[in-house]
Amino acid sequence: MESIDNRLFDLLESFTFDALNEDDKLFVLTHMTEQEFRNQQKIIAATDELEYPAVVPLPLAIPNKKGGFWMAPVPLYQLLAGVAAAIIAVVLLWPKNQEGIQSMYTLNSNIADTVYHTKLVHDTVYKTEIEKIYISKNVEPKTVYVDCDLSNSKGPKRMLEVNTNGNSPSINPNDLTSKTNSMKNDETLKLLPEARGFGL
Amino acid sequence: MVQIMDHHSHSSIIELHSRYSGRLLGYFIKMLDKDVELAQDFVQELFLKIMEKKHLFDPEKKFYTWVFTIASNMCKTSYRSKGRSVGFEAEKHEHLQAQMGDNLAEKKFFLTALQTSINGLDDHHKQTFVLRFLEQFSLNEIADITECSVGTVKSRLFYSTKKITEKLHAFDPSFETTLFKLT
Repeated sequence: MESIDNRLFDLLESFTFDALNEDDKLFVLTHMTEQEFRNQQKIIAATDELEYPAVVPLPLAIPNKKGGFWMAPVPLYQLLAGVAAAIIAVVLLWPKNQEGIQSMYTLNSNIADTVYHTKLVHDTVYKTEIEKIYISKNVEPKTVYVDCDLSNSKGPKRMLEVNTNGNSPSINPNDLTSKTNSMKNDETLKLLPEARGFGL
Repeated sequence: MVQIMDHHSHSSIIELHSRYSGRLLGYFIKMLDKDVELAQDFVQELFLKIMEKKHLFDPEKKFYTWVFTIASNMCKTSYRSKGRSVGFEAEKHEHLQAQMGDNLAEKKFFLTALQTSINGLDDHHKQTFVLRFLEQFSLNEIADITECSVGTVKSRLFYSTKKITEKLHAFDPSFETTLFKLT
């Protein structure tokens, strides 16, 4: 259909009906009458007769855009490119090494998992008692004399094996008598009523 | 010149305005039913669009075809928003005949009817008709402006001419009377 219209239009613009060859005339008459062909050519010619106002264009008014760089319009493709670049930068700079993060947290895991009690709960009581030990300045260590024959290869004899017939101090019966008064004969006992119960 | 145009240099856009504003104004007047004020506004708006969308211009193509593409789209948008008044007022014939006499009135009336018939076409048919027969663009240039093939342009032109002829058939089959003749 378009090819027919194209050929008819080419003939309309190029030739009058009388100037068409036989084939073209036959083709035109197949789709329209001779009068219609001529009328269309007249319509095209009549467009030259149309009148329109002859007006001078007004001077171009360019608006003053304040704001400078920041108020300049940004084309859509630049805006999309900037957003894409920002997204790519975030993806590339985002830390991908998760082990480093884990190791950092592992190093401080003790701190993270350790609970520090500021308040001590005492369940064991340690009481320190100072035991006073009285030490005399003049202390002579007890000396035990053991009769032993060092020449004996078996070594010195034990205390129980010591010859009892050795030198020992003699015991004087006079030394066994009491030289002082007994406490029960003490005159001051009367002043202690508590002592009376003890049979003294 | 379009490539060196930037926001800080208005001299290039002023030069483009001086070169193309007259023709664009004539095109807008033909497309907008002779509304001169609206056509002036469209010219201003068109050059502001050129400043904002200069990055969309393809240097391998002709500048005026790109400009007329923008202009055609503006007209199309205007038609959709405002609608078109289509109508052939027969009563004007008698009024003109009384003022101008039979000869001129008849011719004037016919041309008015022709203008009305052109305005009554569909957007793309009217656009193609005006670009070809009123603005004298070539078929290839019209194909670039309307972003369609040359075959489609021819088909639309043939359809437009046929429709206008049918609308004006009421005048006279030969569109000529004893009073006037078409060139």
